[in-house]
Amino acid sequence: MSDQLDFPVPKDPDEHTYKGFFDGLQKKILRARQCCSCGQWQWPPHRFCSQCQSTEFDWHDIPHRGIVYSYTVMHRAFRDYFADKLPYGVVIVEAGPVHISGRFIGNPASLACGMPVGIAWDDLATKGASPAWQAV
Amino acid sequence: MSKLSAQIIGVGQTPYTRGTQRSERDQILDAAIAACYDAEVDTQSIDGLVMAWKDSPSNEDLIKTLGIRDLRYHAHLHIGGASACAGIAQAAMAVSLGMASRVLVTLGWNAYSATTRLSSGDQEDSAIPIPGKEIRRNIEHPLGVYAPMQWYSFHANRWFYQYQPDPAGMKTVALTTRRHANLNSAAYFYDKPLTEVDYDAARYVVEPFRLFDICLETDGAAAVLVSQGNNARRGVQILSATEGHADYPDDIMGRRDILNMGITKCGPRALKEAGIRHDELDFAQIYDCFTFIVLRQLEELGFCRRGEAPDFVANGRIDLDGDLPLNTHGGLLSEAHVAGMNHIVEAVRQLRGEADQRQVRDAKLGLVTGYGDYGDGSVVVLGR
Repeated sequence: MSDQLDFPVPKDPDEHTYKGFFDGLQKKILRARQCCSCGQWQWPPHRFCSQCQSTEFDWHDIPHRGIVYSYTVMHRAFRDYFADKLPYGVVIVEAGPVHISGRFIGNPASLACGMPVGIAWDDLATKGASPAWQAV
Repeated sequence: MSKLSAQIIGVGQTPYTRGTQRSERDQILDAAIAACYDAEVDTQSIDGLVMAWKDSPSNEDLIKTLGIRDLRYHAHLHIGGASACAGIAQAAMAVSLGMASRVLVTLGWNAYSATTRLSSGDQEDSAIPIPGKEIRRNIEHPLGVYAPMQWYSFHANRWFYQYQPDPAGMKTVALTTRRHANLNSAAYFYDKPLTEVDYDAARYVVEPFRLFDICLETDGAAAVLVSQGNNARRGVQILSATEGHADYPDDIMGRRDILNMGITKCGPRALKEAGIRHDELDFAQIYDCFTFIVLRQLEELGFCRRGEAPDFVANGRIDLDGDLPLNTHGGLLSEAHVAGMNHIVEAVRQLRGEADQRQVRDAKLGLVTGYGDYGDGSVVVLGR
């Protein structure tokens, strides 16, 4: 993915520990890694399984719905891209076996822990930049 | 009980400023020299070095600057703001075992004058040592998450949800520690009072943090000299020193229990190893990159239960004449951001009775914490 794009993109989405996730986004699939040896889920990726030290992982789908575990609302843009989008919410979602983060689509003032959300396939998500969530 | 036999015999610091002509390396060397002078020891007799967080100056730079004749031990620590107290642990261990006899622990940071500030979004190519760079670059940066104030806001918001603490606790920490800084001529905010009106009127930067919930970025360095035994004239004894790490050590957003952190593990351990109870402490210098994390550390240390720290700090308890005077120098919020080495320097001054207008009466026992990166923790208990 090019750094010339005007929206923030992952630095190294093709690196093998991340590739399954970012490829999945482009196909509207949400995936995380599961250890082939002991079955422990792993997110974010790391080369070794912390439970059994295996380096073999498979990508498995995770639920497209979850609940907000926590969130932030930025009132300051740390990058120009966000300057005209403030206030801007980012969420951590408890989605099945993992906590997975994403941009929040909707009014950040409505954000609360425990709130049910579902994946939002907006432009940035399907371009493989980052996932997004919205209230359901 | 701790088997340490170690004392702090000297402390040093540079001026704390915004803007400096001195390089970060030279500031740290200045502070190291100052600590030796304060201890009234020959700089050439230093035989151990612990470089906390920053790798420059190197041991070679320090050997040449101080004229060290026989360096017998050195170590580098990279756990952000937890590095200072963890560095004291390394030094205390080295002198207790006889690996070295006089160990300098150094830390400095030109946080304000750095090319990249840690409060900014320019972290992709930053030289600031942060773990888990792949996670930052692949997951966090595309979400617009770059700075520590953002990482920790997730922790704070979960805490507010799960335990319903009184949000006013954050204000208490900000206002109280500013009053302490107003009594400390070395503090960056020495002559700047902070009122409740100022605090409430300040904008949110990242919810739930308003401007005055977030620490300073300043330029400066501090150093501490540790030696064996407990007999120096102005010596302050190291009663215990502990370190702890969060379960997902380089990631907050993927952490299953976001409230679990290094201090959860090493906080209670530090009191136990020092053989003391909470109510015996005369003061605490708690790492304060944010107001809320002071409250959270008090809870994890066992001063009160989760969600109760705002009540614990209310009604003047953390004032200079309260039960537990806290961050008597002003902390990172109002003195300077020396990544917690300034907290150790202040604890030593309090225990020596050299804290001038902000002196805690008859201070004999104090606790200092460090908090770094994604929740690394460290604690030292000091006494005289």
